[in-house]
Amino acid sequence: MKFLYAFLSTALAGALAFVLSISVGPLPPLATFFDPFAGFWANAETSDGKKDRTLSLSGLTAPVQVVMDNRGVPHIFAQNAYDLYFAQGYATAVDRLFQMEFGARAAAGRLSEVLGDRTLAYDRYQRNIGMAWAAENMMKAVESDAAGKLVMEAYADGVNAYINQLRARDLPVEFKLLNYRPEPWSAFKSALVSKNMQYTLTGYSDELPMSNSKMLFSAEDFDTLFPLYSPYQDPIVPDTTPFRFTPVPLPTAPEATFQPKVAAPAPQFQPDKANGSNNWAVHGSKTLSGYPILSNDMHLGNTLPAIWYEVQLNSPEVNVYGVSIPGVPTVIVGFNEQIAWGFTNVGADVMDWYEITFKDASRNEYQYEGAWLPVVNREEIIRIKGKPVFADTVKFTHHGPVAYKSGESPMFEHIPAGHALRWTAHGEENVLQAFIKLNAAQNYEAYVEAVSFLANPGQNIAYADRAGNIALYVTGKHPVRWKQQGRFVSDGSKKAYEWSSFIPHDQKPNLKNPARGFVSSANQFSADPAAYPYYLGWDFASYERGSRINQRLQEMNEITANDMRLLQMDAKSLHAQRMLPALLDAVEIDSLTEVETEAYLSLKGWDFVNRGEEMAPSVFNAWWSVFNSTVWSDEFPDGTYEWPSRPVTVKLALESPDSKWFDDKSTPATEQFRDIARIAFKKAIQNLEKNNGKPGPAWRWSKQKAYRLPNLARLPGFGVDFLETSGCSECVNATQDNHGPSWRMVVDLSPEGKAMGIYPGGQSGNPGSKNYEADIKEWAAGHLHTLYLLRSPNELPEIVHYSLLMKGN
Amino acid sequence: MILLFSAIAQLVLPWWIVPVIAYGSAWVGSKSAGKAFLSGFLAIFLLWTGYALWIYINNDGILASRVGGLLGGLPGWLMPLITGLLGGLASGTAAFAGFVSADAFRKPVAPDFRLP
Repeated sequence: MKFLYAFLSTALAGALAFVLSISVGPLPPLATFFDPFAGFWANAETSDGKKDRTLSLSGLTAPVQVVMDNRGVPHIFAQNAYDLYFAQGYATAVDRLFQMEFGARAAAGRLSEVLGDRTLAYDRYQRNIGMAWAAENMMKAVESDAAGKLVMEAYADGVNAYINQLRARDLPVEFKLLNYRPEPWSAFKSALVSKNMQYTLTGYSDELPMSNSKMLFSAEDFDTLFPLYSPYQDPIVPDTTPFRFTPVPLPTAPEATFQPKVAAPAPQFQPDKANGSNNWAVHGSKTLSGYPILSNDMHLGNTLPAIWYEVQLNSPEVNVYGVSIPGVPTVIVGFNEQIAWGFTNVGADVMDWYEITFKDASRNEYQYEGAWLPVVNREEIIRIKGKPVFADTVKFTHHGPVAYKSGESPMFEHIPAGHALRWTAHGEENVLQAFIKLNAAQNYEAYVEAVSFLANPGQNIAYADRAGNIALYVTGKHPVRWKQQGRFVSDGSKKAYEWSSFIPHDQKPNLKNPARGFVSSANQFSADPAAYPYYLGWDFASYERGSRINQRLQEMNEITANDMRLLQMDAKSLHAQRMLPALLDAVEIDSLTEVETEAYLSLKGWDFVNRGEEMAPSVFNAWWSVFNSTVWSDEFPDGTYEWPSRPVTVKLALESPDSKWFDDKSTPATEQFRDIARIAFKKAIQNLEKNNGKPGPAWRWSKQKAYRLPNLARLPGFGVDFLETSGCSECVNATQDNHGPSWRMVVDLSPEGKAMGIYPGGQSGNPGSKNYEADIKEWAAGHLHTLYLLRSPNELPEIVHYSLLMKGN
Repeated sequence: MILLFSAIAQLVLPWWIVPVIAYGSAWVGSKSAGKAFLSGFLAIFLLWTGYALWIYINNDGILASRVGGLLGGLPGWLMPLITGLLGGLASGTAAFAGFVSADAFRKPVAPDFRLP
């Protein structure tokens, strides 16, 4: 009997220890995770880490000195390219290993391996649109580019030097939580991470909603609602006179318009359409110092850890400072001793969807120019934590992979039709070449050559140098299209819908030292379509941010770096300025309730500046949103339809207030703009009151837009739920949800001028570090840090937190 | 004894060394099953809570409050307690088992069965 007790109690103790050591469901292994010696507690930083140290890292060819400054930015001094990128990989991994690993996993469609089947749909989608295939194609280009290969392999070696020395207790806390160890890093993983950014910036597609919307209207009405050139545009290249080059032959449009069958629902995970940015450079003729100033703020969906990682890279070939993408070598946006550059997304259409007609249910052959072509099958094995593997086959046509939604049933019994994707990010190009060259560029010619390698994501690259030049180049690989090619779902069986050539680099819109003394971009049209011979797409950002920047730069003189900082924080909405007077005019004051009167009066004296502490922006934005949906919801059924853009609606309201668009078809009466504006006002105030009570602190704009910084892997508690901010989506300071400036930078190129910058978050990706959410309040308030491009490790001892000496062994 | 050995062993070994030590200690040194559980539990509860509390204070509770948020919004100061309870439970159970097992091997000293 006693032996039975002994056996039972020992088994119980063993079982308990076992259960506490394994991951049950979404829970981490509890005792392993809570163990104060090696669990999450080991990631809680208990000192400021200020200690000089020497690291012995096998692989380095010569000693590397790393100066960690007071904000945790590594300034890396290496004696050759290999050591430089090795050290960049190592330093980035120390702070951001989980982010890197998670990014590469997400791109490859391998999240389910560690998160279980909740990410299966996401993984399938990533594989269906060919993300890993695109990264493989990039690696083909890397193979034939010795310099690029060296950079990527050195970086991977550096990351692995860090991973290999990690004991279980040293792992970043997210690995402990999800209960897995990081895989070795590789050049291929860097390619995967760069595909993520390409998807974020060029993976937006509205061809399906556009095809659907097109079927609802006559050709004339469709053109009114969806003009090819958005109203009130102030394009990047402002000239209305035709460009002087001889364009390559333009393809001819097919005669008959293709009517897509629209068999598949829209792709699931659209990147945010509001991904926009600002950049500009002002010439010495407009600045106080007589030298150029460059400014850039890139707007993305912000997370913690932050999207960017600051770094200085110094070797005999390069001395550059700026932000990098964790997982990708080189500096993406920044400055060196001679030049500075900044990005905004071009927003041209570089992603087309082709409707495919398969021969039969096996989907092994598809129709093309009267013949049947074979597909290439790519087997995708998705491993799922705690579940059997999921096997999928992705069909590749000569256009690209056929993406179809999980669980989708074919629309036609015998001819299942998916859509094939053609996307410039699938190409065999090594975009890293652009950054390697740009980091080292010392003048305008080197900049123009460097940016020719940036195939995707095409960026409007603002430039300024110490010699006094300013420039802006619209970059990227852009197909030469017939007008409206790719605006709707294309016919995959006809050659006429394909891309045949690309716009030559020297024929992309660009400006150098223009007479007006500045260049700028805010994702708007690259050029006036009447003047530029190539069709780039139609869905560029609306005019508000770009016009506001141009307006301010036009009227400013004797500009300082601080003026540029203030312009980045500008929160005036040109949309409100244009629209609000007409809206207010439609309201009948006598019929207002007490709350409505208060809201109305707040708008009466408003200067269209979206300050976080005011209630007027809350009222205006709620009003506009209800107005817009009241105007259009009776024209568009529920489903995947493109609605007219904001400026189109504004233009109709101001210029055709009695047009049929304002009549609410669900009522017997015939409404006009004024009626809808009035109804929308009442409804908007009702909503605000219902959700926030009587006007008070909850009506503040910052509360209404509720800016937040979610955790990268959406772990609750690991992000910031609310941040007090000003700005609006169409403001220069474009903040909404978690979207907004991901890196603000101002570089003064005068001899004694300095560079400044900030991003929301700290250098450390460790949630147990004080530095994890450092600077988010400073970011929200528009503060910028001074950025130091050191010439030697010992140049500024006062900014040094500690030093690392890395040595090979 | 459990506390001291565990603290030293945990500097290099994973957490499961704790129940092993508790088991062994109770095998050798415990007077009763109840006392074995209690001393096993208390030793590790004190060690884990104490160490976690020290980290909590020196980290300004930053990570503890995040983990609390992850566990459905629990306050950060609860984390050292949960830590101690988890470790204590594993250790106490193992110590209990250690005593019972040792008892099974002990020569029975059973006066009831002695002949008069």
